Amino acid sequence: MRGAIAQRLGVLPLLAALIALLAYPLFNMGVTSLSSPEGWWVPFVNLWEVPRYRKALYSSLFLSGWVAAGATLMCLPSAWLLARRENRVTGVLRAVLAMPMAFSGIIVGFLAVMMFGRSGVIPRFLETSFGYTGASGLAYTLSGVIVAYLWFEIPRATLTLEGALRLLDIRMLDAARTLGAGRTQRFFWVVLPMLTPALAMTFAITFAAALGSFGVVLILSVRRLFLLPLEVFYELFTPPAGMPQAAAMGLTLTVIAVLVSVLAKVAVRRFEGAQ
Amino acid sequence: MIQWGIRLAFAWTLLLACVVVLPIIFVALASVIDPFWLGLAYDRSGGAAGFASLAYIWDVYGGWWWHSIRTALVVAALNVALAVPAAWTLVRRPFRGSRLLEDFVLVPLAVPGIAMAIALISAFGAWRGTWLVGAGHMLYTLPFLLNVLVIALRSGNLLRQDAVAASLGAGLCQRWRWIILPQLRGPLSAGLLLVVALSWGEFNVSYLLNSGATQTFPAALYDVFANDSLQRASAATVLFLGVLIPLVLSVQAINGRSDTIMQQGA
Repeated sequence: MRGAIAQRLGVLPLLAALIALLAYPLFNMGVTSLSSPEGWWVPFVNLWEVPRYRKALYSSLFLSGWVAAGATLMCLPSAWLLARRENRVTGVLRAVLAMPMAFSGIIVGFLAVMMFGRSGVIPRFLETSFGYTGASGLAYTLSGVIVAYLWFEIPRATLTLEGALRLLDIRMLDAARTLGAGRTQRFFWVVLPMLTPALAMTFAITFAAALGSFGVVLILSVRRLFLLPLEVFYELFTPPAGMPQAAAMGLTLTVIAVLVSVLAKVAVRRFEGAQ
Repeated sequence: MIQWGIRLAFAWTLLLACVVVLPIIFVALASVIDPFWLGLAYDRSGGAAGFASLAYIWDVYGGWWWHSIRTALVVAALNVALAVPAAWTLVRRPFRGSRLLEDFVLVPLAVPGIAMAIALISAFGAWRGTWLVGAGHMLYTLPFLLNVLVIALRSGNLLRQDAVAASLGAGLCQRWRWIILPQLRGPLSAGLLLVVALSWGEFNVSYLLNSGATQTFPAALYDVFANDSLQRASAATVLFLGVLIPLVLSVQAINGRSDTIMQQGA
């Protein structure tokens, strides 16, 4: 018995680190969110009753949902190509698409300013070539933010999808064709069900990433666009710091992200079970 | 039909790659050329030709740059200390709950960054500073390294070779030196480069956990983006990307197929 434990001492440092840096802080965040002097429920009620917070919650969900769906679909052809063709060209393409992997949101925000800010590359090009001035300052609008977020998600979405697509059994397609299934039939009854787990996982991962990042909007500071992570940021940095309120927002974001990823996992299990 | 599908996918991927690269090229250009000549400014107030802006940023924020490098290296070293023995134990001697532990390591990737920062502040707010930043980076980088190591150890017949060597009387140190480390070198170095890259680029958590005069370089970027000219912002970005892009590209080069290493997303 003692030998069994001694042989597994290797996980102890990891376990200790996870308890101290992950489990305890998350638990503490929950406790803090309930420690408002005005009553434990106040931060959560605020989240609903303060118009600014409610708007932030709505637009966070809205933005992350659309961005996750858009990025997943946008990167599907690329991921398919990278999973199916293995050569030097696709290697270079993968390296390029993976490049923004470790960028932070503020870089993406700045790149957005560069490309379509007030005098960004694209507005200036349109202005000098076609005399069209409507594109100026596009970065500071909701559509600009969505474009920046989509760009931000390219590496995550492509690499996650590629990993999932590699696991697919392409012979199913051939089998369906031999059995006489037409193109549309194959797409709806073979390809789509096969893709669903990959799409669900990618959606969940990009959704969680978009939900928690605030750098893009911090730089672009779009007027009238409130996002929950940004509200947390302001709650901490503008005195008086409202720690319980910030913790309640953090907890809400965590619960939403975890829920989405659990739902995705359930969807994956379902489809794997059906096959 | 498949041929056409592949061609379309290729064209689309090429387009995406251009969309990724184009802004980076413009930033590099704007850091050394007056934005006015690039057509990005209506007057010549904020620009200069040559390396003046780069030199300025280096003068002001060079210390932050080094601080960030040091942080990333310390995070990588701590990562090795935690992940290598743990991965070995998880693969070689799985126990009840070891799968659970593997899943638990992935939790920081599912929790939104800002929430993780709040959690760390609520628990250790009094210790805001470099070490807390390092702890945050650890949480976000550990899943990648552990994942890579576990996959590498499970693949092939590494374990069987190890068992054979053990039955022939080789001790743990000998087996690591002659069997395991040589085969683990590729995944381990790719994983470590990725850890350094992620730590170098992390802003959301670091900025909230930081305090003090010298912070990590992304915080310097925020400073410059918020307060300075387009050209100086470009120069700071170039100094940032100058470290990051080589790191990410070498991860790709070592690893070839990146999906095993990066599929969890950051």
